[in-house]
Amino acid sequence: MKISRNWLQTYFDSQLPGHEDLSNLFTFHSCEVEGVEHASDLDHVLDIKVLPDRAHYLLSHQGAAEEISAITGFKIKPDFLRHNRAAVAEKVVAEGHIDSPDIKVTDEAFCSRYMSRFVKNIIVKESPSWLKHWLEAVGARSINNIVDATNYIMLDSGQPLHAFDADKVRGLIVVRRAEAGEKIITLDQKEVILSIEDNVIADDEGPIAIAGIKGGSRAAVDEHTKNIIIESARFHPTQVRKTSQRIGIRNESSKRFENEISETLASIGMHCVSALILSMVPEAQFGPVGDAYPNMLPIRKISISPSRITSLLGMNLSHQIMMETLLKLNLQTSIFSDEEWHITIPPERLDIVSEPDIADEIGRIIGYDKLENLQVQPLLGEIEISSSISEGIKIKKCLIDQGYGEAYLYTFAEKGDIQIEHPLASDKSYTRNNIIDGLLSVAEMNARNADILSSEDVLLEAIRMFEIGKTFKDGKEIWSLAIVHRLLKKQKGISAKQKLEETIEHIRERTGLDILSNASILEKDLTAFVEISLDSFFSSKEGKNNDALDLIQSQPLKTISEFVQFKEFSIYPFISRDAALFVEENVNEEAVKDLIISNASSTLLQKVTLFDVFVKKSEDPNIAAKKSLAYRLVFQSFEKTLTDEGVLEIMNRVYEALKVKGYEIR
Amino acid sequence: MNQAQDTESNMNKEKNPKEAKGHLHPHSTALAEVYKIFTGLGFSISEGPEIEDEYHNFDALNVPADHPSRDMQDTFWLKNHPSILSNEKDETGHHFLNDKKRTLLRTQTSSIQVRYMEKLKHEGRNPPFNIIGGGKVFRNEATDKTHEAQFYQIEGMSVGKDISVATLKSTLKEFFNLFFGNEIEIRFRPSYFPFVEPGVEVDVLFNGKWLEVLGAGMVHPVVLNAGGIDSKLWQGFAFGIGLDRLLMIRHNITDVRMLYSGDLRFINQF
Repeated sequence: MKISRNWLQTYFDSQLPGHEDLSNLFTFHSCEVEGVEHASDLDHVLDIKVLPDRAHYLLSHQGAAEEISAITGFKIKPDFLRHNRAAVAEKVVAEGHIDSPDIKVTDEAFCSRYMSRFVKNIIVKESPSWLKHWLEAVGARSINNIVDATNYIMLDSGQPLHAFDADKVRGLIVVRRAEAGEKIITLDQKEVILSIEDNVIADDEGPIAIAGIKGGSRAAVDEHTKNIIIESARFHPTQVRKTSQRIGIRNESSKRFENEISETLASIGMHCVSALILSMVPEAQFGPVGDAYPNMLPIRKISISPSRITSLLGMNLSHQIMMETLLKLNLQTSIFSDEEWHITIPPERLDIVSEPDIADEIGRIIGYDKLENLQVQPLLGEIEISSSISEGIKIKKCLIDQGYGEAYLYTFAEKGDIQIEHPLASDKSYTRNNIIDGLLSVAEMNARNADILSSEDVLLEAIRMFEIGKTFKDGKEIWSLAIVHRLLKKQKGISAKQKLEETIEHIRERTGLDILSNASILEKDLTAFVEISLDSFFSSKEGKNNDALDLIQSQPLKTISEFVQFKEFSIYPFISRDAALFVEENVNEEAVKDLIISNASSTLLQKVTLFDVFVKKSEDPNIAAKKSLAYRLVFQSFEKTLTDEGVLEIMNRVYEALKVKGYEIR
Repeated sequence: MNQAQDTESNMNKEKNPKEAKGHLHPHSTALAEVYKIFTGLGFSISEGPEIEDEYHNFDALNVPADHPSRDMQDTFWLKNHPSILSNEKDETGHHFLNDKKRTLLRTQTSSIQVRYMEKLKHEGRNPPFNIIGGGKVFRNEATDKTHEAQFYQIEGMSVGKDISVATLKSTLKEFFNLFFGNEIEIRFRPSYFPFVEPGVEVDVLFNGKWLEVLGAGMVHPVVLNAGGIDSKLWQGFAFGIGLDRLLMIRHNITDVRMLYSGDLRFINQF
C-alpha cells in the first residue's frame, strides 16, 4: 500500500516527522516499509507492506493516519476521525425529487451491505490538479473526475467504490450469482466468462459488474454521462478471492474485499465520495442513500485479563499505561474487575478478536525496544535428544574422519514414488526415493574437477562423498545414508569397494551400528556406492542415547573472526598440464616449483602440485643418480574459457626456463 | 611414468593428512552449533516429517482454510493424496490417518511444534518444555541467488507458566551472541504469522547492517489448544529461523543454491 506523506499530513495539524522517521515509526510499531520513493513537490511515498491481519483497516490513508496517531500521540483532526467522517460528509443534501435506486440483494451472506444513490446532473471532466496529483503520487492513473473520486476515496478510506452510468442501467439492479457461461465485457474491453461460483451486479439485461472486482463496459461512466449510481458495498472475502483468482483479475478493489472489510466502511465511503463529487461538480444533485443492510452488526467487546497481558509481554506496565495505550488505538476499556477488562473494538478492527491481539496492540505501540538488558536464564524442562540427531552426528563424524565430504542435495527428482502437483520443472516433479542417484551424479561432476580439488601437495585419489537425508519410498519417509567412493584412476591392489567396506567397518567400530546389515555395496567401474536406511538403527537407540547431550555439548563454538569466509571459484573449465623432468638428486623440489611459478608468470596458473618423485640410481656407480619430478599445472581463468594454444605458450616458457637450468624434460 | 614401479618412494602411497579429512556441510556444522547452544539453555531436540499433512502444516497452526495468509507461502502439494504417514503409529489420534487430508512438502518447521505437543499428550506429560529442531522446508517459488525452493529452518518453542516476549528476546539474543561468536544487537518489529500473537520479525545487526533473520512470537492459544495444551494455564513462545540466510551472512556465501549443489569446490571450503 502506497502512502503519501503529504496526504497523511492532511489528517493532522501537527507537523509529521520527515519520511525517514515516519518510515521508522511504521517499521517498529506497525508494519514493514518496503520502500520510500521521492514523489514530486517535496512529497515522499512510503510503500508499506500490509499483512493479512492489518489489511482490514490499513489498506488506506485513514488506517495509516490512525497508526501514526497511536504511535506519536498526534491528534487526528476532528473532521477526519473515522466516526465523524460519514457524519461530516452527510451534509450533502439529498434532493426530494430523486429516489434511491431499486436494488435487490439475493444472497445476504455474499453481500452483507449494499449502499447506493443516484447523482444527477453531473459533468464528467478532467479532475482538478490536486486530485490528479494525489492519485499519481501513489501510482494510480487519473481517468476522469468521477472515477478518480471513487479511487481517491478508496485509497483514503479503504472502501472500494463504483460508479455506473445511471442512464445505461435497465430496470432493477440485482446482486446475484452469475449464471453458468454468462459473459461480461469489462471496462478494459475484456470478455470474461463467468461461472455459478461468481457474483455479479446485474440489471434486466445482464451483468454490469463483477461484484467487488471489475465494472462492465455497458454501464461505464464516460464523457457523455449525465447521471450516475454510486455503489458502496461489502462483499464476502473468500468469494471475491475465489472469483478474482479464477478469472485472473486482481486489483485494488478485489484486494480490499478479499482481506475483509467492515460493513461500517461502506457508509464512510458513500458519504465521502458524495462530498468529493459535490465539491468538484457543484451543480450535481444527490438522491437519498439506499442501504440494504439487513443484519446490522452489534458493537464487539472482548474481555481480557490485564495481568495475563503483562505476563505475555514480559513488560512491567501499569494499568493506566495500558489503558492509555489502548485508547490511542480507539480501544475503549471498561473495568469489570481488577482481573477482567472489557475492551470495545472499533468495527473496522476485524483483526482484534482475543486477548493476545490486545497484547500485540499494547506491545507494538509501546515498542519492543523497551525490552532491554534482559538476563538469559535456562528454561525449565527436561532435555531429550532425538536419536536421529545424535546417531546422525556420530555417523557423519566417522565419515568426515575417513575423508568423505558431505552433500545436501535436492529432494526434488525426475523419478520417484510421490508426485508433486505443480513442480518447478519436469525433472523436479517427484520427491526422491533415493539419495544415491543424485550423489553419484555430483560425484562425477566433482571427479571432473579433481585437479582443482587436489591439495598443493598431492593429487586427489578419489572422490568420496555422502549424504544423510530423507527419502520417500514405499509410502514411507525414511532417513537414508548414501555413500560414494569413486577412485580417480585405476590403482593396483586398491578397489573402491574395499575402501568403502573399510569405511563402513570403521563406522561399525565407532558407533556400534552395523549399518551394512541390511544393505550391500555395489560397484561399477571405479565407483563403489551404497544406500542404507537408517530408521531401524535410529529407533534402536531411541531413549538409550545417554551420551547424546555430552556429544551435542562437545561441539565447539567459534568467535566471529574464526568463521570461514567463502571464496568464489571460477565457473570456467580448467586445463591441466603435467611437467615431468629429471634433475640431479640434490635439487630441491620446492625450488623447481618456484621456478615454474615465476616463469609461467601468469595469473591463470591456479595450482602446481608435485605428484610424483622418485630417485633412479644407475647400476653404473660412476653415473650419478637422477631424480624424477612430476608436477601438475592447473590453468583456469575467472573470465573466460582457456584455449590449448594459450596454455601451450605458457608451458613453453616454463620448459625453456627448466632447460636453461639444465633439467631434462621427460 | 613406467619406471614408477622401481621407485624408492612414491608420494601417492603415503597418506597425506590434509587429504585424509573430509568436510562437513556447513548446515551440519551450524545445526550442531545450534543444538549445543539451545541444549545449554534447556531445550530438547525434536524433529518432524518433511512430508506433512494439511492439518499439521496449516490447520493446527491456526491458518484458516481460505485465509489469504495461505497465499503467503506457495505450497508444493502432493499427488496420491492418501497420507504417506499412514504407516506410522496412530496412537496420538486425530487427523493423522485421515486420508482425506491432503499432503504437502512442509512449508515451515512450525509443524514440529504440533508434532511435539501431540507426543507429549500421548505420553501423558505436561509443560513446561522447550524444543529446538532443524529441518528442510519447501516453497514453490522461482529460485535465484537468494531464493531456493528448499531450505532449512530452525524451529524453537518454549512453553511454561511465565514465558514471555521478554524471555523470547533474551533467549534469541543469547543464541545470536553465541552463533556469531560476538555480542550481537537484535531488534523486534511487529509482524504477522497466524500461529503466533503477538508476532514479530527479528533483525540482527551484522557488519553495520540490520538483517532480517527470523519470525517469532507468542504461541497462539489456538495452536496450544490444538496440541492438547490448555492455553488458560500455559503460554509460550515460538520462532523459526532461516538457517541458509544465517550461513550466507556468517560466511559471506553469495548464492544460496551453492548449498545444495554437492560441489566440493564449495563444501571443501568449510
